Amino acid sequence: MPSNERGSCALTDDVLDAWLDGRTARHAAHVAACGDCTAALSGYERLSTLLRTVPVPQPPPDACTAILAALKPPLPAHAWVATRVLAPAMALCILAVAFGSWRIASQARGAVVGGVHRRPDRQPVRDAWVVLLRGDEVAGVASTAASRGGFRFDGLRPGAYDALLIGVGSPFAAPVPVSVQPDRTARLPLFLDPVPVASPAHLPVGGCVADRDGLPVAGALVVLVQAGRVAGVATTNSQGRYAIAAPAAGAVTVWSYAPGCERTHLDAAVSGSVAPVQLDFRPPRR
Amino acid sequence: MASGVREGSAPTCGGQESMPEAASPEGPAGVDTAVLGRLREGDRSAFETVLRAYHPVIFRFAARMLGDPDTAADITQQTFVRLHRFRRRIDPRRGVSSWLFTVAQNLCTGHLRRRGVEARVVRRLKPSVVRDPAEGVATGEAVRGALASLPLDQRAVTILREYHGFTHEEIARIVGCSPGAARVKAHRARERLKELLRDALE
Repeated sequence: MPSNERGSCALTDDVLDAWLDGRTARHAAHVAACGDCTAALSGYERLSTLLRTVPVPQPPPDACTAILAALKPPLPAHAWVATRVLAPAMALCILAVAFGSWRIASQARGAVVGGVHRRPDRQPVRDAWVVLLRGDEVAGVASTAASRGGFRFDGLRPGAYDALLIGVGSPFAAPVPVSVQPDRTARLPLFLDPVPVASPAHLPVGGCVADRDGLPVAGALVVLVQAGRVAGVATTNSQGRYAIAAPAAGAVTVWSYAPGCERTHLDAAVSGSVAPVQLDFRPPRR
Repeated sequence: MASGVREGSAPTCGGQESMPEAASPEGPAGVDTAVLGRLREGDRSAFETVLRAYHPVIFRFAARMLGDPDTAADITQQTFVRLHRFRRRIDPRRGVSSWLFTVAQNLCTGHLRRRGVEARVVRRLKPSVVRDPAEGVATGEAVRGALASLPLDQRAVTILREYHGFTHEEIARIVGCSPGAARVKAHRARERLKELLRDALE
């Protein structure tokens, strides 16, 4: 990282980072003795002072009141009973009568269970992922780590689904169609071909998955595809954040599979740069 | 956490601030785990306490990100409406500050990307920055223009760092990147700002 004031001192970047984070004690002795670091710090202080010469933006005076007024007011007790208990109960009765039991029967859910095995020795694969798609909507994401290569999707609406098998190093293959029937469990055996020894992944790609409201999505599967093969897999944390590494520089396609959202993908190029390639996903919710 | 006030240099922001802009996990005065617990349960007075404590902070962040007070007020309102709607996702032990900044940052970024405002702002403000960063009002314009010309992620990191006093680890959580990436963004932003504001800095 170049710096205008930076001289030959190798510690300048570390010192500046520590200083900015308020950890001044550790490097105090070094800074006192090092002209390069002192110059870098004073250059930063000048910039920081200049940035603070801008007048502070002032919020509109009645903004908080307007926000409070925009929220739904709390209901009085009798209104609460009427709107929250009686009205829904009546609506439920009307719905049940109107639609009838045949309608309820057609809402019965189905399930998909299966296992992932490796060709040709049929050993269970514990580090694979299975994504269940209904059109472009992600109906579920399952890891095979928990149950000896097995996976399970429950509570599925009847219909046609596609199962996408994802194993690091394996080709990013076409999805396998599977049909879900009411009150039935569909069996889905999946197989992975042997994986060639992969070169270690070291080029970072990271970002976050958030829905269209800007709220982070936790537990979304992010898959990095390079040269037609799955080069890396990660899941998002509670902040919706993920980090993967690509094994080689070049073009990559990164897919996000957030349950309940549409699958989305972004194309990017990774280079040998230190900074991670930043790819943020905003999948629409279904 | 360093709670925004660096040693020996409180972010006074032009001398108009009476309160540090940044918020520690406990937040500004009056917002503690008990208040956040009641907020989770839907207590209106707890929400109002959090709103009045954090509204100016989030507004200032949005105004600096967007360069437009009207849109910033709108984004701030959306942020707090989301806080009210998704209040059960708040963990009182972790505070509400990072959550609010994350949502506000996502909303600002989404707004700028949707409107394509970023490119227009850069086109409009960049020449004046390079040409005439004089003192007084002109310096303020130059700083605003220089900030607006930064890429969105670098702008967010710089504003959180310089005006709200967050550490790189906290910024990483808010922006959604690793602490190392936050440092790199901060470095690049600093170099770019030094370049753009060279005349004003001398």
